[in-house]
Amino acid sequence: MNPLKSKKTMLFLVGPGFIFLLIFFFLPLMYVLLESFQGENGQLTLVRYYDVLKNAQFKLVFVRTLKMALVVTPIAVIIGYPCAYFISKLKGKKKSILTTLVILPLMTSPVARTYAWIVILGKYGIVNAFLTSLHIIPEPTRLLYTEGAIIVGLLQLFMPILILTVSSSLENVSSEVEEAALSLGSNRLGVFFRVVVPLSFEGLIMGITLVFTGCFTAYVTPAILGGANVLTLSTLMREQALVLMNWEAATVIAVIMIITTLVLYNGIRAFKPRNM
Amino acid sequence: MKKMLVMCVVLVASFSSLFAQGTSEKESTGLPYEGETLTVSMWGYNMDILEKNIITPFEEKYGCEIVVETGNNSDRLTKMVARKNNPIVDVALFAGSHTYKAKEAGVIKPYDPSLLTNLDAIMEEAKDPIGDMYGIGYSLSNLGLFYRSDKCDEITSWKDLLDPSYAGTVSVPTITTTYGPAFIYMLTKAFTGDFTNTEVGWQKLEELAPNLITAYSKSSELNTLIAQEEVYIAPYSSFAWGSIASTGLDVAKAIPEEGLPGTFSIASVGAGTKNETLANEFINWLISYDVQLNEALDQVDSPVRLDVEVPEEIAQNLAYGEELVSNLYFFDEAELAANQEEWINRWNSIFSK
Repeated sequence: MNPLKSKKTMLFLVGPGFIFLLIFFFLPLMYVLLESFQGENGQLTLVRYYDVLKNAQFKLVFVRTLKMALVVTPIAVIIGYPCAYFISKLKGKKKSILTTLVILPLMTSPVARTYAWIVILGKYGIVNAFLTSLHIIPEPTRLLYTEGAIIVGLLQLFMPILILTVSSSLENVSSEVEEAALSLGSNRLGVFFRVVVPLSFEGLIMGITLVFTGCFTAYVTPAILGGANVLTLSTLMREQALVLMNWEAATVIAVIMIITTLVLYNGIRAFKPRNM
Repeated sequence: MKKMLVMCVVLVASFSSLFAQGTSEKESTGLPYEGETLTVSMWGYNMDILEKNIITPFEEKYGCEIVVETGNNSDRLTKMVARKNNPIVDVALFAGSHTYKAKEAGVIKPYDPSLLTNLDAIMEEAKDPIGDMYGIGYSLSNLGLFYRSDKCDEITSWKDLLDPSYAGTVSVPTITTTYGPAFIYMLTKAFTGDFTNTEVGWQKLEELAPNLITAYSKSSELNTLIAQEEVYIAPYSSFAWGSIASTGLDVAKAIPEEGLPGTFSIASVGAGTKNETLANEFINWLISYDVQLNEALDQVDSPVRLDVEVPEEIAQNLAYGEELVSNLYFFDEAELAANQEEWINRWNSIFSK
């Protein structure tokens, strides 16, 4: 193969995407980052970070948002991974039906999906009607405008992404490898945890990162299902930018959100099995 | 051949009509502001009605073209501040709080009272709500108190929101909305007799917080809560009454003994306008009899003119009527703006517990 030709082809293939991301993502991101370290007269300073981080309200909201993302992500993995494994083992029509079912919620507007939860979790919604009809609870209980409602909404929103990411990764794990492990004396559970999971680790990391980042930065779901009772980093950022017009604080919150997701991404990679 | 001929005729006719249109546009209309453009920053709601009642008649009368920049208060104000050195907005329509911020940011300027011939016809409070003639109130709205008449006793006071029997069925506007701070003032008045000691209002909000199903940040959210039968009693913005009434539930409006907070939508002249006279003419137009009447009849804006009369069935969907207007309080936007950050932090600390 002619290396020059290959290089040209690579540039041709990667170039448009790279230029798009450079202009519309990296440059604005760098601008935000630089802005967050600039004082009123343009000097480099950490005062904006100090102002935000010393605020007790921010700490509370940061911990809450982190907690919700850390609750949703493992649940999505526990439910989503076996589902993705099952789908990856299917063939033909069954596989395409199940994949379509997973994709279907992604085709609906997040706002519409979230509003559906208002009907389901409302005082006279399906869940309360079910629980009261079975006399599990004497009267309708408050399900909406709680952290629980947000967690359920986020789980529905992001689990399909994890399933899709992991299942495409699992498709690269040959069933012959599993059979080889079985023939060498491992049981089914051993094959799953010691062969399948490590081999699909890249996809799992990607899925976890996408779910965590989505939960950590979500705005619509916390704003609708949490209301004023459950402030998250995104709703706090909106408040700083659009109500108080304190763009500096909003910028700092945005940078902190980016740093947190980067830390998580690299943190998970540290658990990557050796020789993978 | 026949087909070709017909097509040629159609083409020639089309070009002729285009040419004729082009020629007619170049003909002088003799109108005072012919060929000039006025840029108005305004909300995007009910644009079809605003076109019909305000924009098109103004363009026809003065010969100018109106360019509209739409968006919510914050977005539009942010744009105006960002373009401060190269302004394009001639007239800005904002809520009171944002008009005050626009004044502080230096993106609006005082109006010229000598050009506002309709000024004498409007409510006294609407003539200069921000101070220093930085805008006129062209539309009135108020915070009302709604309740489910089949679920609640008659509501007569803001204190009724704290009645334990309504726990879990109450909602209030969040502090970041136009009426959020006004609600604290009304709680203060209900429990102290005046608006001075807001500390009491905050204490009462803290008592009320566990009883709230949630606090709403948009009127549409409140409508959903009412339609879902989650909320039986709540303060509401007067312009949302039509939607609340259309839920088909047994809803009633109360005028509490402590009164109600009122506010204006305010029109101001852009600081860097190159069409200052035309901008003032537009503001004068907004408070003209016909515009005020038509806007009220279409239930878009409640009139600030005292001589506009509307039928009873329309009046009940507006901030209108002597009984209501005489019970309204208008708060100092400067004081509200000065308290904003502290009050938002305080609100968040109560609701984040």
